[in-house]
Amino acid sequence: MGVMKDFRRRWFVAALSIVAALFFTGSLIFSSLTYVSVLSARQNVTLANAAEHAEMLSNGSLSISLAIDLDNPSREVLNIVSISWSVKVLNSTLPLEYIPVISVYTVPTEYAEVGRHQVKSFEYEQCISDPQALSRLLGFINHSTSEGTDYTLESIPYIHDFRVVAWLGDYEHDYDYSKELYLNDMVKIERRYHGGEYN
Amino acid sequence: MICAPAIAFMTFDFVFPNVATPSLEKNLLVAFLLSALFGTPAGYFHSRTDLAIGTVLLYITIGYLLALVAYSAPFLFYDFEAVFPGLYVMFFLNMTVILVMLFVFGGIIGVILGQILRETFEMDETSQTFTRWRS
Repeated sequence: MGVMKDFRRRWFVAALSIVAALFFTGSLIFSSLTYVSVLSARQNVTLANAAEHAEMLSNGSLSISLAIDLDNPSREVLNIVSISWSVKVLNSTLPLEYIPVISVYTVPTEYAEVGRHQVKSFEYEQCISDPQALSRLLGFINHSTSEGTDYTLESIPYIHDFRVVAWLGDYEHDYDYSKELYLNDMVKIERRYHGGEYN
Repeated sequence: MICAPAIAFMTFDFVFPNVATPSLEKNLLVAFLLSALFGTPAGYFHSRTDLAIGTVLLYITIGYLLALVAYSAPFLFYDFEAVFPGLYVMFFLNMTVILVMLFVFGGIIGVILGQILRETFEMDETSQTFTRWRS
């Protein structure tokens, strides 16, 4: 009761304290909701609908393509910082080795932004006309044929590896101190499509 | 108890300065000055020093628990995966242990400032009352 009496008597200081308390309560709630939104984006942003294609062209080149969607159902904007796409073939003679086919790495600038509740489609296509690259694939086909499996350049089981890295919104992510690196990780989205699996 | 949200916000901000608005950017000096400022009402409204310091410790505890709830909000109120699975509470405690010590120290300094402010106001009120009574 004594405190309440003091509150009424010293109303100016009491009012200032209440205003400050309301301000910090609002800030805490807003910051918590932002934190929830960031974690929601981390969990719900996905790669989907990958469509792989390989086709022989009339000039003897091999065309390989990949179409894939990046689905952003969150309230955060994604600023894409790097995209990489590579295609390889599992070398059946050495189980842990791969035959490289294509490797593309891009560092997008201002155009690579995925808005809130948006789906962005990526389509990559590359033609292989290099005789050395094609001879490696033909060697794989010949080896597979000798082991009883018939492939053509179009039906080889190509392994597509697509990676995308993005920062969430405009949240700060330039922390260098080792104890603060978790802040960078918190606002970073990294998704991968590899060999038919989404990670 | 009206100071508990400020302690909660500053603790949360210290762990996640990039998602908190407005952010103190892990500035310990500003956190200390603000904790002294928020300790002032405890000293100002309590004439007993032990009660005022007890209030400081109480609102820091409540504020810290509120910050822990805000930090755990995605897992308590929503069905999200933990960012730091396993030791996420330990992570919070490790990050904020120095900050809590600063809050306590700043709060006690604030109590002293609040009591000085209270005594100054009371002396001023008394002198004004006597001046009015004499005239």
